[in-house]
Amino acid sequence: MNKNLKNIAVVLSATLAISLASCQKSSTPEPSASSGLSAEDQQLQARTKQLAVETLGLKLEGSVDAGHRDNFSGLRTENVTFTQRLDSRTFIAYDKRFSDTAKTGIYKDADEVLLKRSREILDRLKIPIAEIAAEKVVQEKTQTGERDPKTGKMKMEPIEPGKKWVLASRQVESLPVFSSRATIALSSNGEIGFLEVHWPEIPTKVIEDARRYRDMAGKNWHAPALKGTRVESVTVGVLHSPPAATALDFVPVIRVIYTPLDKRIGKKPVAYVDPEGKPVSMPRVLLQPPREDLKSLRDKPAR
Amino acid sequence: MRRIVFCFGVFLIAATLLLFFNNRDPRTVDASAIVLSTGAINDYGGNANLSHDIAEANDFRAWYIVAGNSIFTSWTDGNVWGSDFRDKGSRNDMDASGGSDKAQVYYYTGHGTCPSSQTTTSAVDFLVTHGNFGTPDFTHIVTDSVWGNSGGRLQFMLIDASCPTELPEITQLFPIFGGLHMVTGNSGDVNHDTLDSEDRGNEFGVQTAGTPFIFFPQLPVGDAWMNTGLIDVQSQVCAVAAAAGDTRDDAINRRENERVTSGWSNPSNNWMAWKWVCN
Repeated sequence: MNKNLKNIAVVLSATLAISLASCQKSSTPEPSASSGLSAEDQQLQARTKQLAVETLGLKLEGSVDAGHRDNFSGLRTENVTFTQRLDSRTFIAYDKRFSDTAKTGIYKDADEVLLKRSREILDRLKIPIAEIAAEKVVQEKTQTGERDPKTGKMKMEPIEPGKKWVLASRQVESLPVFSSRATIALSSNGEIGFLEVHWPEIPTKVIEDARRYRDMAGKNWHAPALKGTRVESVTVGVLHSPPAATALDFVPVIRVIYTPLDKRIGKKPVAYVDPEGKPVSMPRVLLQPPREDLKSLRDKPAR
Repeated sequence: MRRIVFCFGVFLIAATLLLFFNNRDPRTVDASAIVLSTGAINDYGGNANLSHDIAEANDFRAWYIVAGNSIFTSWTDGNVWGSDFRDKGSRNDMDASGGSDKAQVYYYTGHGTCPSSQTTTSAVDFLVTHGNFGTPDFTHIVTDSVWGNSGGRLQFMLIDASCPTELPEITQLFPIFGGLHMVTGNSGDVNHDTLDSEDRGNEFGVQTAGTPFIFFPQLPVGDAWMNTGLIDVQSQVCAVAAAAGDTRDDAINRRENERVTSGWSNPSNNWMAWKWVCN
């Protein structure tokens, strides 16, 4: 009997050990990408690090994991992540301490100071300042409330200020570039908390076509009708692939915003069309999207 | 031989026990991967059809798949039913074929409703579907939806549908938190509305999922929505993120720091902490 108990204990322990090991998230850090790299890859990593540290002033404390894949090259530490696109003026930086405002507080300088810092950062990233169409600071508001479980009534606390974000939009030759933007937020210590700048160079041909679209759309051009709506606005501009993408497509477009006639309905339909009023091919996101087993028809429900 | 059979039997029992104990509390989830559903509607039967919502949901899902998560359902158009978002009724949010309370994250993109002004006190937080079944198509989430209750798994309800988290109605959202951690959406009105967009969902997807292999950071849901919820929106539209909590500090911590993969246990709905930012 004792032998059987011993066997049970051994098998149970082994099973649990194997199961637990397979259930746990690996705690082994990813191997540093710098080992066994070609000289070209090492140079790329060095340039990425230089951009993060010298251009953006990110503080890389502790071990740095760096690497590149597809059109991205990036690095991360325990707190900071930085990535840049290799085919576009696209930069993303994030310090996770920025989110935890209870511990780190919020950036409190005046909006003008923040805008100035934002301009300096964009300038250092070689973003043409003349292409900034508009920029502004928006600030979060935060609030909490407690519900009385007996009455269901809410006791609300006062509204408090939250994080500040700089939002910048883009134009080229007075043509709005709908997909380009810069979003910058600083931590309470003035360092970059979050940054996303997506400002790719636009091929000349695309600008020329957009200019041509603008001329055509200005001369008795009729936007395509959309049932259940009326045309609210028509604007000519440029679309391109988003920052998180492996594709980089550019499309000149005429953007038509529609207002639903049913006053209850929200979210305004938008069409991106060419001068003939035909929908354009939208810029791609992933060159190789993950494969999915999508079903097209849901089973009719049982009674 | 008897010993081998005996050991095999013990192994099976141990494995069963382990499985049982791993799954004994549906509130506890594996932090390394989550289950996502999306519902996206372009086709409203020819009445104010949208064009980009299905592509938007495809993008959102793609980042979750790339990050190693799994998909529960990804229905589009008439296969998204109003009943998928309602807690009561013979067909409801626990419907095995696509109820919104069956996954940990649900991303909805389609029409919602907007009030005539942002100071309204009338009911405005509606999702608007155009379903083949499961009518009515209008679901007032304040009164009809409860997520995370009665075995429901939903932790994050992410709504891209114009105004269904209208600020004047925000305090009425308490009942939807039946275990739900967070809800995100927009606030606006008929003249200040969100636009049909592919970029907004794509950005929100990549920022909430994170993609370690291209060093794209994973943000807390609240911060991700604060900086992506204003993409392709008109002036005065606000992005809203609300979190429930056991205590005031718990609710604030979730609002500021909880990621879709945090694996935190379900909160009660004693407290709610919310934040918003306006264009």
